[in-house]
Amino acid sequence: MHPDVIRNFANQLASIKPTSIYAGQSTTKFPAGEQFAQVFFTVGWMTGNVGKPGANVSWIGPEPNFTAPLVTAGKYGDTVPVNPVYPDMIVFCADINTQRDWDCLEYSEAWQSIVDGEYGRDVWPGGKRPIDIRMIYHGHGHFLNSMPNAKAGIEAHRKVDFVMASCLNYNTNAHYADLVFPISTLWERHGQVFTDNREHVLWWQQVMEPLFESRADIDVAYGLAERLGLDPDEIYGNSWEQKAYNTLAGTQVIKRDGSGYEPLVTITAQDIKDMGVEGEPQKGRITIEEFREKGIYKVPREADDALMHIAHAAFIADPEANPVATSTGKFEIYCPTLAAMVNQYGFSTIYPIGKYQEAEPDQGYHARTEEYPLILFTPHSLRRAHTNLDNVPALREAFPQECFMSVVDAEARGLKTDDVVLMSSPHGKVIRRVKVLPGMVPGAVALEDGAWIDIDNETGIDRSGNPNILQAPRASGQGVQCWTGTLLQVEKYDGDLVADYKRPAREIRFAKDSD
Amino acid sequence: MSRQLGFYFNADICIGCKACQIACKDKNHLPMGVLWRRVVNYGGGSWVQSGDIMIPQNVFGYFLSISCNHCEDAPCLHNCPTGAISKNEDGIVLIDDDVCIGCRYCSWVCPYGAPQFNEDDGVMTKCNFCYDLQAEGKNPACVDACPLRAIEFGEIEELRAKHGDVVEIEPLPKREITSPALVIHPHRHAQATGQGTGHILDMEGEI
Repeated sequence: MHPDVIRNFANQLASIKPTSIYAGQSTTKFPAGEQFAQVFFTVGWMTGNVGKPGANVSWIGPEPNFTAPLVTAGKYGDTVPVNPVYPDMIVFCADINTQRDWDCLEYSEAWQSIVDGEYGRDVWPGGKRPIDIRMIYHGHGHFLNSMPNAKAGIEAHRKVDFVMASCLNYNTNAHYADLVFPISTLWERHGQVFTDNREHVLWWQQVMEPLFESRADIDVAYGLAERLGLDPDEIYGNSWEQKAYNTLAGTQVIKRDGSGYEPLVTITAQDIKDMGVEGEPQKGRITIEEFREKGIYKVPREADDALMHIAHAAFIADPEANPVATSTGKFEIYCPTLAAMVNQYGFSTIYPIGKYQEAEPDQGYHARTEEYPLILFTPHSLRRAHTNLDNVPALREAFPQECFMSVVDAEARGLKTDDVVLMSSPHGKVIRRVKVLPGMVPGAVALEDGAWIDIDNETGIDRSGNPNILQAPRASGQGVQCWTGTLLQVEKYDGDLVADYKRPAREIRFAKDSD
Repeated sequence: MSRQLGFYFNADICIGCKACQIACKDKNHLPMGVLWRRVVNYGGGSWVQSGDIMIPQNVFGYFLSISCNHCEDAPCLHNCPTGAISKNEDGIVLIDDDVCIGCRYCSWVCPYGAPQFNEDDGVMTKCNFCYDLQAEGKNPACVDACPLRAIEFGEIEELRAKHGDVVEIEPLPKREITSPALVIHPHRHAQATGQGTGHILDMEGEI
């Protein structure tokens, strides 16, 4: 980056008070990325941008987003069974003193671990751990498409005895599964209230019957439980009507003085009778009719209302009386506790103070080689939301999933826009067409995340341009995923690549549709 | 002609999301390869080495969202051998499916790439200003889809009175060729037609 850009930023930060500073999560998604977060907070604290109205320092988003919600939807009211192996949910690195913590499979390395049959690091208590996974159940999401080192992911799917996938559409999870459960969308299910963000709740309504034989996830689980000899009614006994009612009746909104929560919706005995459910009448702020009609309830806000949250205001006002949860009770620019917590995992070593750090020998600017001289970064695509909607031809036409390259690097390789290129990393290869952009920084190559993997089985090359084919299985720090900094080469490819929108969408075609 | 409808496009706030293009495609059920509204990315510039770092030199880029401009002097209309193209009372240039023979002369003479061949139907097609929606008192699909509210439409003289009269922005052609019913608020880095240092950055099939 040009020094003038940094000087300009420093001048603005020094002279404009208060300032809110945001970075975005991707700024830390590289080896030793914790160091960026620590530097970022340090700069925010040292410039006094904390604990005051209008001031905020966060590398992840507005601080109030991580405080108590103003309104939340009710739950289904189903009995949630206790996991006999892990009675509480476990979070990787949540508690460094708990042996159980080490049982977690680190996200970035998970596929490779399944293939290798072991995971962890030698420095872990007892060393690396054996692992023998026999089945993969994709209950939701699109993990095979969305995790680094996807070629190892495919290998893992082939290694295990059995793979099943619940999917809205025929995505990559489904493609490598032995058994696919077609899942209905929210438009095809009984409506319910759900929490969208901390300031509003939505009430969706069913608009159509499920297509073909698709079912809701819970209905699939219900059927599986029956066939496994379990009693599904112990868990999923409530009807969809009752579940929906429970989400409605259980919706809580914060009181105007912020002192607690109260029911949002007024429900009468007649309402309960009409809905054919069990429940007790309750008094709330709005009627069922109003909520159903609008489909949304947003907590009204006013300037200086009692719901304002200013992060760390108490600490800044009186640090002695309101210490933060560190060993010194203060914000720690130098934080040995943090470094010890991160370093014990053996993925990488960070300093107790934020500073620029070359963390990995095979990733990042300083690790470039003649064989892999370029650095990959993976922005989101306008074609889709992460991996969702990648199958829509009109979106594929509008956004071609190109290899974005700088003018300088393209000229050095004799490449021009529309040329087919091979993108190679030590972990895999993809082919795409290149788009030469004057705005791209030389040395960097961008490939957008989320394209649906399409391996040519003859060459082993991915034709979709999914960057996870190239991404390293690189755990860092506390389990940071190093999406940025993977090294690669881009060169002209001697072969054709049909535009995505001209290829058939990956969807199930039924006989009656084939005319 | 009593009226001439036209579009206004604010290039300075467009982020190139193509919501207008997709909304148009969806509303008009356009097949692959046919785009009545296209978002064009124009840009240029270079980089020079300075010690260890590369420094950008005059690097710029911007988007233009362009459909049929329902030109006052429409070459598609003048060059159609079957008389399938006409202007209606609102100044909207329309193609009559029943008369069009799909010869593509109109696409050759239009400097904006507006008329496009529909292989499924064997006829030329183009933006019809969503006259069906307008008849219901609604806005064209592209106008309502824009999250930045960068597209407006209306009587072209009113748009010019409100937003000025700029239309010669790279990579668009000179006004004199067709007299388009279009007003552009130029991007802050916009280059005038004929004086551009950049080029169209889009890929084949993208626009």
